[in-house]
Amino acid sequence: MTTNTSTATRPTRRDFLKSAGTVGAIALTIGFEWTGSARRALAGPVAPSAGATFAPNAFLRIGSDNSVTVIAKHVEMGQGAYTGIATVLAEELDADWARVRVESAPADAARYANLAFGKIQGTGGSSAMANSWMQLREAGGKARAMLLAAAAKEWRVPVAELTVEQGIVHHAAGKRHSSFGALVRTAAALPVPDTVQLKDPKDFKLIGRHVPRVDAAAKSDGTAQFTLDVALPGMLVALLKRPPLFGATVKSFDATAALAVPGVVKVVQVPRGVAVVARSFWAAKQGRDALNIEWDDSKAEKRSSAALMTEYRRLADQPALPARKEGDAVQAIKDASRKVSASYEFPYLAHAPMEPLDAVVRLTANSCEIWAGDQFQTVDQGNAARHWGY
Amino acid sequence: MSTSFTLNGKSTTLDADPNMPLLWAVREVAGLPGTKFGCGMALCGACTVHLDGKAIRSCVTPLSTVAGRKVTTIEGLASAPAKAVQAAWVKLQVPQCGYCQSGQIMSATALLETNPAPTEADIDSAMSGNICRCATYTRIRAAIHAAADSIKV
Repeated sequence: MTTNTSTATRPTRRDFLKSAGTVGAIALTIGFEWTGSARRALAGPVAPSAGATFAPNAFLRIGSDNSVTVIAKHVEMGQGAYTGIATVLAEELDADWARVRVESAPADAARYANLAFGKIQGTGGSSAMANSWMQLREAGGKARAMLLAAAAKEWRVPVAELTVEQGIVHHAAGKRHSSFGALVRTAAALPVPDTVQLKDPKDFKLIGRHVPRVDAAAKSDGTAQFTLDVALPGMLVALLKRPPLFGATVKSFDATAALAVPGVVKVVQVPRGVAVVARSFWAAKQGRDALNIEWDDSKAEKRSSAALMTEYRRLADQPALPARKEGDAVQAIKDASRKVSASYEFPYLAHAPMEPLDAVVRLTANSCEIWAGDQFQTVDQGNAARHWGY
Repeated sequence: MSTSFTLNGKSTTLDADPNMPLLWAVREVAGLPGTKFGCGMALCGACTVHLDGKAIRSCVTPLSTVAGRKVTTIEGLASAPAKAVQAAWVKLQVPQCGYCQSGQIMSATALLETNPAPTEADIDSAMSGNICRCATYTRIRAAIHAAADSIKV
């Protein structure tokens, strides 16, 4: 993500809800030029295709080597977004699923906003497929139309006589066929159509079927790249020592022992605690263990889990906001001959993935590149831009 | 200080603190990032590698303890059971986020390399130290059975 463009604002839950009504207003971002500096993909490295490339919109690139690269504006967190997104686009494109690869889109709210959230690129609330459904279908359908037009032009036959199956355009009468890759050069010179006839759902070949996940192989041989695996030349590793209580702050700290650990470069106080910066993880870890911190617990959360549960029970007994009102439920329950009651309790659940929360930042005089397992790329982009004053 | 051992079939000498956990020696010094860091306390299994064929937690294993021994990481899996496990993982679409799966595969492979026809109890015992935040456990179990079936002679 390169943070030299746009500003994004932090969405609130209310904003999400308010903007959820805009899903229907979909504008296809066809015509944008893809300036792809090769982005890493969690589904494995994608080699830039040699020769000509057909990139009719922000979501698709077809190489002369027949590679079909779908650019995913949503984050793959294990929920299958990459596979779902690729399925929808590949369906309307009639691509060969075996040639489909997925690449992460850069942070760019103009091209890659979540249409359910407004001007924010983000993944959450089960919105990925719903908001991008028509956008991806049109992206695939328009590309398919252009490939057909390219074949019609090359063979001097009517488009209506052409069919497409698994990435091959056929002209049955003329006994000719051509792969997408061979049509890339001609297709790239054609205009993007304004509208396109999408498939009748009864003709779907991929949507609604069990399509193999695009990321299964890379996640079974250790090649899938996570934030923790990003290694840059001269990169330093920082580990944070956080307070043992929520809301506690640093009163004072002694970094002498931490700084004596070989490989430790610096110790810095940050809003959430103290960071140890070192040349390797192990040095940073030893440095962090050697920190001597006195915490200020005066504003910290000190209630126990049991006390919190008691508070939840008390709140649960209070009148709540009615979601819907029909009849006189209170009276009906009072008069009921048989009453059933049950209570369900569950503890605080950390929204914690297996990969420890981490981020890699490459900062230069005029750019900030971030790798992180986050859900809202353009919010991070906006925050970083504000922080660094870009 | 340097430590010599066999890493994925190759004689390797790593110049690093002998107290450094094998995990970080493998990831940062040898440059093999397939083995993951989850908890650093041998509680999650994400860092599982093989030491002389046995599944161990590399995050709590000092580099010095592997001197002269054989270490295999996800990048070096080559045995027939290992290939069967990886093929079953892909075929049954086991991974979701994928972060724990290197460790899961290393534990499953160590199991099948010593016990080619594991029972449910054998699988439970071999895999109980590997946790998965996406809860792919039922597919992991099915994939281990599928891998075992595929290498049956």
